[in-house]
Amino acid sequence: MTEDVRGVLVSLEQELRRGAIVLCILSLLDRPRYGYALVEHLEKSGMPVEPGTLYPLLRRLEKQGLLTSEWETSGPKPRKYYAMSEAGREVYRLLLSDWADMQAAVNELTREGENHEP
Amino acid sequence: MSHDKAQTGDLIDRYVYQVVRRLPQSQRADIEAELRGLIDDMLSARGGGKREDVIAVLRELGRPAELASRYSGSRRSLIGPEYYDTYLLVLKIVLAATGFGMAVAQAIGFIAEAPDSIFVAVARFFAAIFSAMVQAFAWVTIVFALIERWSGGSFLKDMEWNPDDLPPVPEKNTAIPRGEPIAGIVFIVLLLVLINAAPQLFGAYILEDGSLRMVPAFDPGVFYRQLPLVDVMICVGLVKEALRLVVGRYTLPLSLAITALNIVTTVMFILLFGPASGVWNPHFMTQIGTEWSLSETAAQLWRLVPIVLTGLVIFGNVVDSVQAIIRGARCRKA
Repeated sequence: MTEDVRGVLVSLEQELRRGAIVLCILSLLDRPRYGYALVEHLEKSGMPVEPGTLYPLLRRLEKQGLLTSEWETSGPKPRKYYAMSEAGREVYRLLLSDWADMQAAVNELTREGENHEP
Repeated sequence: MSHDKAQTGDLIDRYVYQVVRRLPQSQRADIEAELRGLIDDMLSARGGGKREDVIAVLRELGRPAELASRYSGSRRSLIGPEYYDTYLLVLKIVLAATGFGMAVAQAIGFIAEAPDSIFVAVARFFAAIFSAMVQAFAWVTIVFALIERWSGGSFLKDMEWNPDDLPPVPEKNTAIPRGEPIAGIVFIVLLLVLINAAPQLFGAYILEDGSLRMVPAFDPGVFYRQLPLVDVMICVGLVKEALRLVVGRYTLPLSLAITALNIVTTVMFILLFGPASGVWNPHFMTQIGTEWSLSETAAQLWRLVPIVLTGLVIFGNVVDSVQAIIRGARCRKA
């Protein structure tokens, strides 16, 4: 594989992951978690996300009304905890069913593709 | 050890500052607290707070400007894709017309008043062109940036568009090549600049005892009195070229508009510069005749100039109108 094609592959992979990451984040925020806990959890689950990407994303989702946040100051260090809002749960449910439909469709299409191979 | 700790703390302070200073005031405190918490967590995960660890963690977070832009998520272009093509086109036309117009105006300035030395002349020439073009660039960019802001880049998107409104693909001979109206606009802007800034260009120059004497082709009194009307006439031509540029192909309505504007231009030209206009300097030939020792019959030729010019203008406008109507009608049939 040439350098150019590898670059294209990397950017396509990023595009594929971009939407899925939101789904993964929402799935983990059915209970309050702070940012770095999410980073570690996602990495362990094989869906690593850079902190520099995740933190701004959390704020954006909060601004869009899908998450709520609260500073937890009773612990050893203050941390901002995020959790799904009511609207967030609704969106998550719908996204999940979209994801399942999409997955089924993609599987179907790629299986058809395999049959065409010589 | 404490020295090292102070150093790493300083590094983190500097990093956090570079991120938050790029963000809106209202979000700074919150993002700063969260970012410090994150750096702390990342350091703990690496199991150390040494200088190398801090550097590795900050590298992982990326350049401050990049991180800040992810936080702000704001639009990062002055002129978006919606207007970019139009912006480039207008910019090119305006820069070409300004640069060329300024070059000619400067050249005329040197004829009117000789500069002290060739170096001064060259420096002044390029400085004037450069500063005029920088100004033109700035104004075009400012206007487009304002359009972008005011329309929110979306006033076209908000309107529902109807595929039926799409114009038909222009036929080969009804499409107007962009170069034609652009060249026209450049020429007209140039004419406008010259006739207002340097009307002395229109005349004959005679070298007399080492200094230039100018014999004006126009009667200055009449010329300045009717200059506003001349500008109106030139602007009618500008409107015509702009229409051709915007519509981009010959249609019957465009052809009729072109014809109407041509009629206006022709009538105005006859009134302003025709044989009966009195704008031409009646003593032109006799004034230069003494210098060039022309015969009396040559002086008679001067009276033919307005007649010939008027004839040319009528001819040019008729040809332009007929051509436009033929092409417009052809498009109708297609």
